[in-house]
Amino acid sequence: MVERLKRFFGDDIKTNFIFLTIIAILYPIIYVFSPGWGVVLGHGVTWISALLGFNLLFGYTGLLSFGHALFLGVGAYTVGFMYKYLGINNIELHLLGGILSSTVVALIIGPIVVRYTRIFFAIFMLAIAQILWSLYYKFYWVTGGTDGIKIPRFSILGISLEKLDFATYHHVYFYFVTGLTFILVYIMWRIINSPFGLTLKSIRDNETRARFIGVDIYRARLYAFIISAIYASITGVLAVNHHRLVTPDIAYWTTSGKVVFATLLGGARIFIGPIVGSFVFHIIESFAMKFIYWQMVMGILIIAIVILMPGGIAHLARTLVDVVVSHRRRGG
Amino acid sequence: MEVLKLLKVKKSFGGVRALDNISIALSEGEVVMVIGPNGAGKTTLINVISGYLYPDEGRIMYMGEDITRYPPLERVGKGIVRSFQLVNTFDKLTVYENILVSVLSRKKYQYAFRKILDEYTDALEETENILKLFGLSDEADENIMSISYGDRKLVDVAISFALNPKLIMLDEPTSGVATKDKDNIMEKILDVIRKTKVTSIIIEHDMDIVFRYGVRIIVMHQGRIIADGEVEEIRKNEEIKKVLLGGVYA
Ligand SMILES: Nc1ncnc2c1ncn2[C@@H]1O[C@H](COP(=O)(O)OP(=O)(O)O)[C@@H](O)[C@H]1O
Ligand SMILES: [Mg+2]
Repeated sequence: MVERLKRFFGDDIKTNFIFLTIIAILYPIIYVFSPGWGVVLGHGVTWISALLGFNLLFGYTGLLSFGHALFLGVGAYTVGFMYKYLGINNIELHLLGGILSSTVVALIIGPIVVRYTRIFFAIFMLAIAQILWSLYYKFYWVTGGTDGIKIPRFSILGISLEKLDFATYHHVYFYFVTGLTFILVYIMWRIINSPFGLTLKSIRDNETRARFIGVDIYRARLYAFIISAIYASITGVLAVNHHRLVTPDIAYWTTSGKVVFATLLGGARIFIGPIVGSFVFHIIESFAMKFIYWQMVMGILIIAIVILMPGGIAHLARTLVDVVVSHRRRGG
Repeated sequence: MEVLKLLKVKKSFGGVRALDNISIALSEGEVVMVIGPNGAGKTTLINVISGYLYPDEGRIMYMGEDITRYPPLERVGKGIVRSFQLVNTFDKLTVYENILVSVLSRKKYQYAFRKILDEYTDALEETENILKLFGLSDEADENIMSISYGDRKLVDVAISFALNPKLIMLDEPTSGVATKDKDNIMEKILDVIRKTKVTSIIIEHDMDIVFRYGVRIIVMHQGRIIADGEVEEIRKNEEIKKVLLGGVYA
């Protein structure tokens, strides 16, 4: 069954692993030439989890969330509070904390929001995310307000990274996150290719019919929502450890916009789309930042790309591969 | 044994009486064809039995149990399955996936995510068998939207049969299909019904088809049942023919 999908470039798990491996091999080389671009790749790999989570809802369940910053924020502030109040800077515990808190938040709001679809779901999510953002912003005695919460370098399995030089620290971060991303990608791929994944697609395509073949659509959507929340919170946990600062920015609507755009850019209909999208988005962002009005430049660039490549980069790549393959077949 | 029993079921939309005091009983394995002009209330009948709508009055009994207020999901779980008048499939999926998702749901795997689809060999095998049963094997890997409308209708019906229903309701399975293909579709459906011995309600708009394939026929008009009997009885009744021919057919 999955065999049937595998002929498609980008839905095969191998394509995804090869892509990530190539980036992992290129990383130290790029870093030597330009540490700045190394950091950009670091951002790229950090955001994959959030994009995969977002796309489980968008590309596979048909729910467009304009509020995924909500869960990045939950992950980020879990880290902030764990450090500020408990002195924990262990990244495994941060991840565990982020997963638990995002699950709790998803269980509270999920049962309500999954009853809505289309623009109603999108706006509902945006509103809830903005409420949480305003809490981080207003309750400065807890959250540090816009100054945020500064956190030190994380430790892995109790091993402190404080004494490492900058370059080594960056490499440790990058390979830790890449390793984790391999696992997250694999798990997500299994979910999407499981019976549950097919059920989600059936809801996306035809909610009414799904109900009449015996699918509890709210239940299925809630499960997807929780998984999506966990994936987004993991990026929140990683991103603030990367920046070593937790501010309300990560919970702001622009973060939600970034998740949406980066996914569209990569391609929402192909599994590899969000993975490619994450890297390309950050590369474009880092070019755009050279301009004064970089956000505007970014916006225009993204709109242009989305209009010119409606299926995203992954779709374009697949089309090219298809053309080459069919050409060869005809030729040979 | 009585599978389905409707007792004085009523349903109105504003001033329109879509179902006006409907009482029907179906015994196990029975196949009923429902015919009537447009707006007679045929689709509404399926809607109230499947739980898509609730009746204003009356009771619906299924296997001796009052299911009048049961939500659709619960009815599906009990084996009450329907298809829709307009093709209702999963449009971005392949023919194979359209049927597989239904098979998985019946096997209660619809939320299972620990194993990938490949590992559910029982479900995959059943899907292949259903495809074969409906003569759709050759199109298994096609996107559902790229096959002919007639075949999409068959897939739609196959999705319903994949649930192993105890009571199946098909709303005009041949509507929108070229006349020459109608017989083919109806024959395939009746063939599967014969093999599975499932109790069936088939709404059919086409009088010729009904008289050719029907056994027990229910004629509806303006929300009422105006005849319920053997095909020969109905065929001979000139009054009923007049209603059917006089009705607005579109
Ligand atoms: N959901 C609805 N809302 C309003 N009116 C409806 C609805 N469903 C059916 N009707 C009306 O009820 C009557 C019976 O419709 P229907 O059961 O679809 O007839 P049939 O399937 O026999 O053509 C029609 O007059 C139709 O307009
Ligand atoms: Mg109808």
